[in-house]
Amino acid sequence: MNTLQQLSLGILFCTLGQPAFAIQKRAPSSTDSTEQASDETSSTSRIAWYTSLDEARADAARLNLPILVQSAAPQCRSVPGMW
Amino acid sequence: MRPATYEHEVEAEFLKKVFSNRDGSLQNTSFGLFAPDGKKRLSRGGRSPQMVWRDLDSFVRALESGPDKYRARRGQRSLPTVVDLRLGLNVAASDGLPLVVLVVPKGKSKQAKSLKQDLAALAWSDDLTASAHFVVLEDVETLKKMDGYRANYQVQVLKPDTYGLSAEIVGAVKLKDKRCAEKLADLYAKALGEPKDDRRHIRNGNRKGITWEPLLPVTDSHERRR
Repeated sequence: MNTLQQLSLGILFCTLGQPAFAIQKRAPSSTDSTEQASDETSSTSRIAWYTSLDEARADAARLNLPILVQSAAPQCRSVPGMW
Repeated sequence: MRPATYEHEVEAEFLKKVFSNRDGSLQNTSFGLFAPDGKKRLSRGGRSPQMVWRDLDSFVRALESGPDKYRARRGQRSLPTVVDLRLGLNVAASDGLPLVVLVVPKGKSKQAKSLKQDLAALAWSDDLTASAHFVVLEDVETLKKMDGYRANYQVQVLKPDTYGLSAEIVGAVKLKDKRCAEKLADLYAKALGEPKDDRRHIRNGNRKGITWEPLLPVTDSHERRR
């Protein structure tokens, strides 16, 4: 899943008013302008992910939020630092 | 939520239920939607969003089908933490984000809980949300070896190296500081990662002999063939 797809999903959640995770608008960084210059909305948005199953489940149950699950390995061809 | 695949036995079992290969093996990526109980499926699973929802319109429809049923309750979210420093550095480096380490006193769970709540309020504030990853540590020995460590500060902001194997501490703040949020925002800006080209990143990593050993075996056939 590329960044654009991830952010699109996040924006959809935001649009629907179901804050399963939060979207942050911020000033474009050099990363944004390089990678996603063609899509201004996506390039300036980020998703606040829960990374722990226990924490996500606990907050989802307490706040009555559906859970969008996306898993990925933080390595690319065994090299860390990239999804 | 976005758990890291192959890094936690219990989570791996859950992820297999979200999506797995025909032989039951855990795949590198998985996607799915669940009810707030974390058990009832609201979608089928897949290894990509398209495999689950076909397109964004289908995804929207799936979400719109139950907004009344799952009306959100008010409340403070908890601090979204990565399980340990090793994985936290890698996840933060992969996202190009700072890693915030909350140092809590050993064996004092009430104090630790209070500190986590204070930082959670900041983490989910409008100005700071989605801007960093978080790890909670009692033992600061590893932090002490990093450049920039400041003793007696509860919150240390780390800028991971490009591979997420080490980090520089760009600054630290105390949660009681009235300008804590403002200072964190400044430190986050200093700890943002540089842009990465995936091919160059992998090529340089291979040249340097940098490899990541997940805690669990990689069982994705696509990944193993690479």
